[in-house]
Amino acid sequence: MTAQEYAFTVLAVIGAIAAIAVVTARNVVHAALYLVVTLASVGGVYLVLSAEFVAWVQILIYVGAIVILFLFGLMLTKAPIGRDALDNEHQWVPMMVSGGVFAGLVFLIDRAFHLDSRARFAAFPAPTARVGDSLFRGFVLPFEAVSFLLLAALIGAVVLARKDEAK
Amino acid sequence: MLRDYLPVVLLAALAVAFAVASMTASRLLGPNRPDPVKLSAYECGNEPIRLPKGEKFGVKFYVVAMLFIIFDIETIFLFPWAVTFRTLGLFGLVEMAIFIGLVFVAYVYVWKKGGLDWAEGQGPASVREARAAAEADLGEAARAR
Repeated sequence: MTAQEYAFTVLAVIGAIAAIAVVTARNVVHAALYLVVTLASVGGVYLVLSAEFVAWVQILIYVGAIVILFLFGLMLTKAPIGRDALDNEHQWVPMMVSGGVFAGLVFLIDRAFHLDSRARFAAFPAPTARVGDSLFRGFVLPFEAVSFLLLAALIGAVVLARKDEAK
Repeated sequence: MLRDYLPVVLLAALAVAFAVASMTASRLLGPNRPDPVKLSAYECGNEPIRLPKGEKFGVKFYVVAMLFIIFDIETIFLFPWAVTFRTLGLFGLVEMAIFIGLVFVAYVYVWKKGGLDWAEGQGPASVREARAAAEADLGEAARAR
């Protein structure tokens, strides 16, 4: 095994354990915190695959922002926080659905890439410089449109929040 | 490229090892005589209780979370720009200035709308309202005279 494969194995094991902990946690907040570990390990896998930019997007957006949103969502809505607030008894349907999705993905990826038993761990180096080059030369208008979208999102959030506050 | 991250991995491993080692050492070496008072979340002060039903956290927290996410996404775009801006030259600088400018408009909007005020009667929006109310009062008083 190469160093990359070792790193991937460690990250995959950590991520899988944390993912199981997400669905078995008895406390919603703990589940959200385990989700941080899972998402961070996915970010580590991106890094192992030399996709540096995607890895940092994963860390900053998913670990940094999405989980924060989850926690704020738990706080702001009247979702029950605490022990045994989760529905742990009806796990059969989600189990079947996620199992089906997993099997389907494995099948599709196997068909698409023809993985043999000794699949090589091939990295597709996409240096951040190249990402930046294509983003800031080839996609100038979409890039500026993103800032407009962010502006609209923030104004929408303020309008909605103020309407709620006025009540 | 992966080799560049070796110091980061080493530092992370050292940090984890230090945390685990010091906690294990304190567990092994320290005396352990728990009692209910020591085990309570706060040895003094109130017992932590949940918010009563129907009580909500302020919506202001949500606005702050949205602000954080917007600027998080902005930072993500700064990252590839910082790597390439030498080759992009003036064009890249103007491009990023427009981008940051538009997001800054959003920031100013939230600020002026009072999204960053924590208490009533603080910040530009409420100061403006208070000033307008005071001026209206003055105007009425002048008219009444």
